[in-house]
Amino acid sequence: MGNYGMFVWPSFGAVIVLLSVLGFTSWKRKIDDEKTLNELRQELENLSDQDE
Amino acid sequence: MHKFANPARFLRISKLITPWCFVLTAVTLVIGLYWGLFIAPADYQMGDAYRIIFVHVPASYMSMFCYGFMAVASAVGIIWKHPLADQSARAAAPIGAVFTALALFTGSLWGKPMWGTYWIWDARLTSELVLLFLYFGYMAVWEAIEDSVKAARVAAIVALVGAVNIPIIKFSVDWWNTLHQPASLMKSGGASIHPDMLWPLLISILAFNLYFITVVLWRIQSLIIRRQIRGLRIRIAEEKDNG
Repeated sequence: MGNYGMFVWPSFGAVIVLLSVLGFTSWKRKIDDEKTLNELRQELENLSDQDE
Repeated sequence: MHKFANPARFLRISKLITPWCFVLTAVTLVIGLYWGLFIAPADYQMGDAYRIIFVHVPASYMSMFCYGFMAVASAVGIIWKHPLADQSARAAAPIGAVFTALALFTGSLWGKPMWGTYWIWDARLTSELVLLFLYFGYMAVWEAIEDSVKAARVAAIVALVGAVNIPIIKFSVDWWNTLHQPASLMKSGGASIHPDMLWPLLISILAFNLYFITVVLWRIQSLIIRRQIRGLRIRIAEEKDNG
């Protein structure tokens, strides 16, 4: 890259880091939400069983 | 279209699509960036500095594409009042903001060696900065208004009003005398880039598009699930009260 490395590498680095962080947090949030949803479904099922 | 707009059906179909989109994103991103960094030849005038275009052009293009997506989804939300349209627009906003921030950052790193400055109040740069503020404003509306129906309406209006900035960004280099160079990819008469440089650029643009599809689907899924969680919490509270 010669003298231009100080401009090229941070550009590619920023893209990789920011896209990875956004992608990972979006995926993790979805996984956590799915887990919470399943727990609540189970809790509702238990409450319904107790009523019966 | 309405058939796929059913949240439950959308969730089912999107869960099948996202793993494939993720794999395709990773593969195309690695190929595009590696090709751009190491295989494409250096430019005879700009040397290796031109390699920034392999991330700057896709990020800039996606910053406008995401806003266009948000504006169309918002219009659908206003006209047909479908909650999935509003959630789609909401899910796209942070992705668009990241692409815009990347376009500005990589653009300034391009500007220093090429123009001698990181920043100038040029029409293209300024309108792109306005786009970033529009994304922030749109996201702030969703966070500030508690009533989700009201928030969706106000956010949709912000998205639609802000859409006027998209043609301004695109044509700013033609309408005004700017430091930013005119379009070299999407212009009449075809692209003016050598195929050795054009192919890795097109692959990078494809990778960024696939990234958007993958992440927006994850975020929409998350927003749909959160609505279901809210509904379940209310039902559980009612069950407990009755019990």
